[in-house]
Amino acid sequence: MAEVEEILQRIEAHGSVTGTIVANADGIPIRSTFDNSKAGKYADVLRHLTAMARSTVRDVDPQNDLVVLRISTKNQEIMIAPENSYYLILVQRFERYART
Amino acid sequence: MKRNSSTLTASSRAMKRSTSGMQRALHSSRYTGSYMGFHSRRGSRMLSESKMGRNFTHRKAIRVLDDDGNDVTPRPLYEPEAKDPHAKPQRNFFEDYYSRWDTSKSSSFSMVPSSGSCRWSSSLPSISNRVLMVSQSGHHLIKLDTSPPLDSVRQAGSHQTPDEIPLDDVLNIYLTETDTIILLDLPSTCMSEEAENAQAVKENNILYIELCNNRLGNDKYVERAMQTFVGAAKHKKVQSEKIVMHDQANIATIWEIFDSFQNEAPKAERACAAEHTLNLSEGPKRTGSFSSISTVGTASTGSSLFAFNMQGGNMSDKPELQAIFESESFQRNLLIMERCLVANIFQPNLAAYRTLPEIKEPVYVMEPDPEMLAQDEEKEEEEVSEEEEEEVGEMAEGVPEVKQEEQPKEEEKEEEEEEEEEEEKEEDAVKPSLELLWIFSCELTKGWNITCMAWNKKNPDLLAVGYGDYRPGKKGLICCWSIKNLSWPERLYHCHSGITAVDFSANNPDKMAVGMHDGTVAIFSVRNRESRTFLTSSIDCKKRHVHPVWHVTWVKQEMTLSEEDVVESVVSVSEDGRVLKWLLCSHGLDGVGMLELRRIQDGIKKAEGNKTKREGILVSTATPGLCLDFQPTDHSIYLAGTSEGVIHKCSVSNNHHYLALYQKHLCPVNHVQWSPFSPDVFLSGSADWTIQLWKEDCLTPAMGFTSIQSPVLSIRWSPLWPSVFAAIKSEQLEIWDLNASMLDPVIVEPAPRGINLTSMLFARGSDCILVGDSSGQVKFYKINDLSVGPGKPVPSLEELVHFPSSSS
Repeated sequence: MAEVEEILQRIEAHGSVTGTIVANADGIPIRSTFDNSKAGKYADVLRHLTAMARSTVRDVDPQNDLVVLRISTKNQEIMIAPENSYYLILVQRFERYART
Repeated sequence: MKRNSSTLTASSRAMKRSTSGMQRALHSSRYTGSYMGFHSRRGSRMLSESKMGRNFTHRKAIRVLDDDGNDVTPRPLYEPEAKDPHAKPQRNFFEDYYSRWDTSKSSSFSMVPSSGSCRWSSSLPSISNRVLMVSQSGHHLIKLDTSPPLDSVRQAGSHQTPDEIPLDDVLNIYLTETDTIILLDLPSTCMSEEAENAQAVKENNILYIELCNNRLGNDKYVERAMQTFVGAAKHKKVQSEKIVMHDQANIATIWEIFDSFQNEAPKAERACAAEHTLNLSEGPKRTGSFSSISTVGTASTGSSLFAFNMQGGNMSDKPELQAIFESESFQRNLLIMERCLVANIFQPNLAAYRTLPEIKEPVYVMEPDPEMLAQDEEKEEEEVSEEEEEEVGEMAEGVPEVKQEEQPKEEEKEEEEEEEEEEEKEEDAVKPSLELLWIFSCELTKGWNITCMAWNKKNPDLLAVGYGDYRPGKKGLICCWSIKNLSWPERLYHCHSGITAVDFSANNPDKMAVGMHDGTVAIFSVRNRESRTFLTSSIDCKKRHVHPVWHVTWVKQEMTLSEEDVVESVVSVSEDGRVLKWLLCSHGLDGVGMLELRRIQDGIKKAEGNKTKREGILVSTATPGLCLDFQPTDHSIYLAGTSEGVIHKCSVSNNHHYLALYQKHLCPVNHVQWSPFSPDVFLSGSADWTIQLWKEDCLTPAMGFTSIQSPVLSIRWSPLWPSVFAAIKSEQLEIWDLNASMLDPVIVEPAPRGINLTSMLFARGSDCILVGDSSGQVKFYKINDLSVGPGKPVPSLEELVHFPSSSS
């Protein structure tokens, strides 16, 4: 438990990470670094999309399953890991480490 | 003859006839089929032919005359036999019709139902039959004379032959007569006045009329009316409980079907239980993916754990969060997320490391298609592709810069169908250089001195780094870093003493052997995240090293002659001069002495002919062993470098004596390594500022390399190019390319001020080199523009270096 917290904090401490949300299966954020309304919105909206994505993946091959869904948008990247009982959502701002 | 009771009303015709009448009119054989209007008059109707005949003859005499005296005798449908040719077609028609209709039996005739199929009443008077007399005027009787046809059919049926059918085959159709099928029989209530029993019927009628007349006052006939009670209507209402309806819809996707197959009987109970609990906690129904077919898939343990945790039905957030956190899948997902995150940031560098083209950040004007390199766990074990062509071409300018090539790419690392490079590949006029890709460093490792590094044999992305101080009494740290997560090590182990050597096993890739500064040899398992300490160690062993263990290797050794029994064991060399092989026993590791390194003294020169021979004499004092390397092809031969500067070539089977001595160095030999390409060539680096290149059978080195005047701490061959090797001195990293220059290193990378470089390792699969330093950082460099590369001819060592022929 503490480890998990630690990892989460480490992730959140990354400069480019805008925020993380842990939502339950209903789309209600349980733990989030965003403010509540935004988190709720993210969770709610993404829930359906991931369900659809998961359905697609499994339709093609039922033994397969969706692990992570990444949505790259103009200014950020949203990563969602769906599970049976929760969603883990991570939003990262685009920031590339330029090769020197 | 049966008696019947037909129900007659005053004016209706008798629908049901007496059987007697019927029997006479009908054929003697049994009846088939349905009868219209004859419901209960089945039965054997035996009719004697004589009666038929009588009827026939009788019938023929009948003539009906109407008022005007016209002969309106209805002509029979079926012509009598005298008119046979005329009757035939008609018969055929009927036969066909009824043969079709009654397939099982032979063809038969039946009465063509017509409205007035009448029968003659029997001669027997029957009660309550009222017969309309023919003589009544105004009534036309339609009598259907059906019997003759029957008779004629009966007689003629057997002679039926089908006409010639104009086909090739001559079909024989055999027609036989079946029973007569009566379809409708409406017996009439009239009879002719000239009938036989007309008189009797007349009398009957009269009697009946009299009876009717007498009825009024007669005691025999009493009119009585009855009325039944009509019960009062009762309205009854029933009301049930509200039937609660649930709408449930489901889309039968392929995976749902699959899931339901998965969760059959044995798992049904568990699934049900989980379902119940989950339904308690999560109200509305979901699509199948969340309906708790939680036993399916790899997330099963996690989510079923969760389900059982939730059996309390507690809805508050804290336990839920806790439960989520504790689930395995959450942790795994976190891991993946972190890696994705980091990969996004460091994408160009990782791409360079993995020799893949970089992804350009999406520019809004152009069509964006930035699919990231997904570093999912499933791809951990995949080999890195070796398409260095792209990389070298990219870096052709020699100045590393962010390449702005936008190319669509796949998720897998293997597939690389890129477009052609626009830049030309420049030739060797470009100076090779190093490019810093990234640094493995975190807060925990800051300030530690890196002493050793080792790649995992199975997972090419896993690197073990040993941190330790050379001062006794200081703690040690081992970190296992993964390329996939550049910001945090995967595993962290704290040890009681500084780490001096580390190596991964090949047979059991999760086992890591570690040598420490206090002489302990320990074996760790990196498989489990939770394990914090070593599996076993040599602390309790009597023969353990008491001095720092400078080198640890896993060596495969055949126990038996057969190839299959390849057992791996740990071999270590330490400062006390002993080479020990470690075996796993009940209480930790047990060391088996393989060799003791002894000090060598120069022996007397013996002159044999023109050659001088130096004979080494073993002195009893042990000399510290600093490095060890087993020959890649023959695992029974190994080299041990000592602090005297002498390299012993030893054999596993010989515990006391060396096989050969290589004496050239004047100072401790810090590192020895066999060349991966030429199995009898090895390189040694020593504190006397030199690097010597040896051939196995020659006791003097073939070549020596010097650069700055500083002890060589470590040397490594490049795993890719036979002529490239690297050396670490505390101030700089040198990369030598024998193809390009034998006198100077081609690349020299100085260390940052105040920091000493301490160890180095080549990366597998790509031209990258790792350098560990005294500040706890592992820097990944990419080597660019070596003179050797893909597409160029790769010279072997033998071609480059003229090895002297072996001499004693």
